Amino acid sequence: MENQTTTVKKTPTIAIAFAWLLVSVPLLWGVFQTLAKTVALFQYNN
Amino acid sequence: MSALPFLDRDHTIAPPGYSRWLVPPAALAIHLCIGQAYALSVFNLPLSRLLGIKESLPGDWGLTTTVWIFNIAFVFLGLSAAVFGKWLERVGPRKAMFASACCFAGGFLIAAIGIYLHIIWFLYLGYGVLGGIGLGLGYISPVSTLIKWFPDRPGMATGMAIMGFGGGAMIGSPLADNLMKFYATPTSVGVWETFLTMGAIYFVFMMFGVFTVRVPAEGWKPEGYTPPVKNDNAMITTASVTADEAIKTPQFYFLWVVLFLNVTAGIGILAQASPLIQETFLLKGITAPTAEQTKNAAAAAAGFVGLLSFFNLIGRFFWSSLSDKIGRKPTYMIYLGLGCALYALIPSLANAGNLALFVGTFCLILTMYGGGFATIPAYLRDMFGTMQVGAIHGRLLTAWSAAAIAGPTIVTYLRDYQINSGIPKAQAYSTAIYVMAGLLVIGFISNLMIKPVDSKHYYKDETAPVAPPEPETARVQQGATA
Repeated sequence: MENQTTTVKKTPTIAIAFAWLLVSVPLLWGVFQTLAKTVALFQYNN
Repeated sequence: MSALPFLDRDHTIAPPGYSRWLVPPAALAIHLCIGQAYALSVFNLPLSRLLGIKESLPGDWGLTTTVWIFNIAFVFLGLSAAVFGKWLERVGPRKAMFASACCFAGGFLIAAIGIYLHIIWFLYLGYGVLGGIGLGLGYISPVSTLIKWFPDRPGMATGMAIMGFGGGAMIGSPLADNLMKFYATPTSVGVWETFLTMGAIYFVFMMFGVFTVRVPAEGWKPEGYTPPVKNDNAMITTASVTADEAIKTPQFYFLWVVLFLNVTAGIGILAQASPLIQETFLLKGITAPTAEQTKNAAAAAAGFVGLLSFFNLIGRFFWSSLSDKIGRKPTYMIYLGLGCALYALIPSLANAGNLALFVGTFCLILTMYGGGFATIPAYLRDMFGTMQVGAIHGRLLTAWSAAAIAGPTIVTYLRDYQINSGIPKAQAYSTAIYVMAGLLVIGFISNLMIKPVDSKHYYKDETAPVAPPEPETARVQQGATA
């Protein structure tokens, strides 16, 4: 039987890292903004 | 022939070597945008001052008018998810995501015109109806694809996407706040400009998801993954059930009840979280708070709501990932059983005056509220197979729409009833919380009733055109990476 060799072009790691960075940055910004508000709860003293 | 062929399913089939780890960011790009819907309340005050700028004038919109934008959007989320689910399975995720982006951004555009002209119907039809359709399409569009890319970890995969929906509110609220500050002038509160800008930003961001998403090639499977030949877990089917057949099974309705009750309990508390903590703890015993005390309590309550949103987000990823290890049914037993116990504990914690335990308990409850959303697609996959899981998920999301109305209504009504009966405000939530605990008991029983789907419902006609074949049953393609 004849062996078939095919070239497989794998997704570059840099492309995967870029995609994750693109969605992580706004998410982390949103999380930071939200958690910054929680300081008022822990410092609350009426 | 399609007008935009690059959106067709055939053009989205992943080539050998395509990494499946590009698919969750594509899904997140959609969910991080549409999750903004949960932050719509940030516009309540500015929308009520469009004419008066500094304060509301008689012609300005009241909260009872603007709240319908949110309600309509969530009703259309459920309806569009239910109606367009089968279309999504046929055309693939890219076209559905593109349609979602057009509807969601188009909704912002029409709403911006409505705000500029001060015509509320533009907001109802724009953000409410068109935006709501975008929400529904966007919510379900990546779910089925993720399950097919991650047959070994479906809970984790869908949890990542649905976590994005929770994160969307965290981005949408401060983004809107900053944009309104940027656009505000002495003659404008800057809302229509903010809507226009957010619509444009979200459209561009969603396009990243549209052009990144791929469906696995026929027969693809992750490297090193061996699909079970003979299923040793009766709660995970290797067969498939169509969406039309799924709604004829009792399992669909038990799951509908489980989702409805879990969401009703969580959303009811989340919607009232700010007044709840202020009346139960922060302003307890203060009959006439000063302006300073009111301001401090409001800031602390906003912090409490933010903390709950954060744990809601964490729970979506944590619990859905855990469900891959311990199984879907046990995971929901924890949500509903532990959730019930924690709800029942809350009035005692409030009476004991232990703020840290009170807050901690609510945070844990909210992880399970988020987890309930994130784990349901994998539960559906276990019950009905992957063939039309997106369409079945879409139909199940009507439970969310119903709960979004039922939860806040129950809590508000019972709180008002107790206050009118002469009960102090600090104790006015006890009955509502015990009712929520009771609802979770019903949900627990409903979850216990779930058994494997009867084989008479299994899909048998292999010539039907609707669904792509399941990766587990087809020929294995080499070369794709895990």
